[in-house]
Amino acid sequence: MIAEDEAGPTLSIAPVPLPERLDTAAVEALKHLVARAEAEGSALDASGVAYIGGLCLQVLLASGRPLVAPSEKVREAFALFGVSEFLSEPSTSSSELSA
Amino acid sequence: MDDILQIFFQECDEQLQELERGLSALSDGESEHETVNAVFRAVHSIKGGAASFGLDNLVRFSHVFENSLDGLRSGRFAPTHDVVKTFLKAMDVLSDLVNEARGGAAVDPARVAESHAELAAINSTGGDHDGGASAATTEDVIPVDFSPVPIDFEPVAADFEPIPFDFDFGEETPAPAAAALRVTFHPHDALYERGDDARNILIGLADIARECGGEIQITCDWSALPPLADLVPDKSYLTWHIVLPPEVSEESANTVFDWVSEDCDFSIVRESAEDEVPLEQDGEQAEPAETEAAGAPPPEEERTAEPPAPEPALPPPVEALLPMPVAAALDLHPGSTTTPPPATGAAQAAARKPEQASIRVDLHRIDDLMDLVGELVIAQAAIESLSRRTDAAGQHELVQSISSMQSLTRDIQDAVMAVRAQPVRAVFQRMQRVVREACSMTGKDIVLTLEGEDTEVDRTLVEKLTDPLTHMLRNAVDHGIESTEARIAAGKPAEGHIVLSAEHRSGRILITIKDDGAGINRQRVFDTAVKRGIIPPNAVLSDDEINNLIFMPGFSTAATISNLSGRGVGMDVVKQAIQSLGGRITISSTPGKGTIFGFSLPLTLAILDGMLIAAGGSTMVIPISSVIETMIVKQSDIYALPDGSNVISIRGDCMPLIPLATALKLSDAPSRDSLDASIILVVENESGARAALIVDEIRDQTQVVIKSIESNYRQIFGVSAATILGDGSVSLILDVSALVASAIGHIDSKPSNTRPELAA
Repeated sequence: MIAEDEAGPTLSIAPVPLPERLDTAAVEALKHLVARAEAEGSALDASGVAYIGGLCLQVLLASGRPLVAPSEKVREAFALFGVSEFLSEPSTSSSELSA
Repeated sequence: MDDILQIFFQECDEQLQELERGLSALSDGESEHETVNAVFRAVHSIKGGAASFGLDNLVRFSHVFENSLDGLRSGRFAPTHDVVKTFLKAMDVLSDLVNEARGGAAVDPARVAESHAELAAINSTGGDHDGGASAATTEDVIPVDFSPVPIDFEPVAADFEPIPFDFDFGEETPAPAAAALRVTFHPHDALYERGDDARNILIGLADIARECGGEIQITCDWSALPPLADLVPDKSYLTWHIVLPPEVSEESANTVFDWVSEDCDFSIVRESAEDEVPLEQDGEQAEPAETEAAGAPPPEEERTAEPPAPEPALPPPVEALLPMPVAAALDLHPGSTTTPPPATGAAQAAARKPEQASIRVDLHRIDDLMDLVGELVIAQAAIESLSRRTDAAGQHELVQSISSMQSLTRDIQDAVMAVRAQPVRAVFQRMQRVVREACSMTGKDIVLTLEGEDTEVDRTLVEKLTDPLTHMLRNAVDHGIESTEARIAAGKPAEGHIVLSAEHRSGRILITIKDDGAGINRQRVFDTAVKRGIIPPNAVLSDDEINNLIFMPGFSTAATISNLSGRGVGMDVVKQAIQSLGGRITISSTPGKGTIFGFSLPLTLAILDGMLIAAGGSTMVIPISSVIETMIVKQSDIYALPDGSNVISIRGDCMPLIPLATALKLSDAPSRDSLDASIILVVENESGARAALIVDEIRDQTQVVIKSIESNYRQIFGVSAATILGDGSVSLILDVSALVASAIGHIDSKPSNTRPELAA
């Protein structure tokens, strides 16, 4: 965790790209993906995400991994789910969340 | 899941039909409350179902559609021609979106957006209220208005008949002053299991807020969320607190949860200082007590499910309120009850596989059938006891009993046919859309009038009629009706007219497509046929034969190949399709006046009333429906023609005299002298042409079961099918139309292989 905090602002490992559709069917895969990202200490690349469902949102929230370059759709979805602050925080400090 | 989805699509089809029917009625000027309501319900049900399956596109569009319809329902604007036209267009988009959701072709977003904008436009023009673009606004205004001026309430209640409870609420509690509506929502795992998503609910809430011109505030409570390692992916942990603008009514907020009320905990509370009365609703709607029970020791996954139920400060209002959403939900959405809860859903879906087609039958028809079956059982018992008697009187009674059983059998047969019969309306209504689309592609203005939609035919036929009719109507729009300029130049009204009608005629169903276009340009048809090598340049053809050339494979006169028709396939396919149903196509065309295409189809494909006759030593069956009369001819009424054939004059009408055995090549032509006192049947085909058939003997009248001869052997001229008689022998059923047609030289009814000289 501490190592991550240091790596936080300048992620050396390439962010893990997330699939386009994060619906209920994708939640298992997402959990594994996120768990891997956590193990590697890498961020999540949300630039290609077009749809986020409630279950996948839970995984993203629970992981606390920073989302890199969220697409417009992701921003919309997070706003809809009332969790926009989760999206903006990583840019200022990812440490707060992962702590 | 897929099975349930399949059921949803089936329901969509029904709702779309309902919608089409309602909108047609509206466009015909029937703007009764019930019609408008039916239209509204149809769209609403589609929206509700789509929301459960997370079909975002469909939900969004049907939502806008529904709002505009609500404007109509609440009388904010009248169903003018333009408004109905917009609705029709929106219906087409909606039905395409349904198709897209089903895995069909994607809908062009531009089209959706266009229709979307149009709907929004008509909705905003009619708004009298401040920012009253939407239905919800109207509804919201009412409770507020109501309190100070109770009299205002009455007429409005009538307007919203299906949801009377909404306003009971208003009577029993003080009308909430402009206080925000607080919604708490926690999805159960089941909500996700059935394919829905919390997201859809939030979208729904955001939409109703937006309609009212207000902002929605959503906060997410993720305090129950475990760390990632402990998180079970398909468990639901989150709870949302939503604040809706004050203009949003409880009722409209409730509708968002209509389809998920069993799969989530939600509460809708008017945020007001004194009446913090939660409108609790749980999975078990019927037993609100359980809500409390569940709320007290929250199960693991529902830890933050509900805000602690506030002490019921005002117990009586709670009592009064509780039935409201339930009743409203039931009243408003009869369709929603058809969405099975997930537990039983699997079982039901298994019982209704998509490939198992089902039909809807009026209950009284089933009752009739049941009555008849009851009588059959009695008749059978009677026969059984009579057959044990040996005296002569018993024998006599037995014969009587058997004949009464015969009529019973016939009645049962009719009853079964009635169960299978369906009005052609379903197909005909679909044609409205075909014409609309074809019109917009060709830039023509054409009205399609339907006649005889209630005509009933066997359901197998109904289904198979769609494709041929679609093609014929596209063709009528594309080639039949001239362009607006040409019509005006020809002194016709600018608006083209097509009549699609169905009627029963002599035991068959006759479907006609009549346009008031330019008629068939025979010279062009002839030239094209020559160019395509279908006929030799020196062929001499009658007008009728030229008309029928358009049904030849590979024929197309369209100078430019359009999207609609004129791909060179089609008309011959139409002909094949109709022929495979045992039908025939007739054309009559008057240059400058229009063209009439007629499809004549058998009503049923199974049983037929026939007359048993003998000719050339074999027993054959003639469908009784085509026999006009029977008589014995006099030599003096027969006139010989130069080609060796004879005509007979019957009460001044001349018709060809056909020796049946000769026509079927069972014997040589009889000499004219031998015709005296022979028995003839005057028969008629569906286009009204008559001929006299000479037979050896008329034996009996009977019902026969049709067995296809083509599938068992091959097509034979003059024979439509075969049957098995009571004595076990096989008998041929004559194709009267073909016989008449060949006698009067009607090209259409001849199988195409009999004129090889034409098929180059």
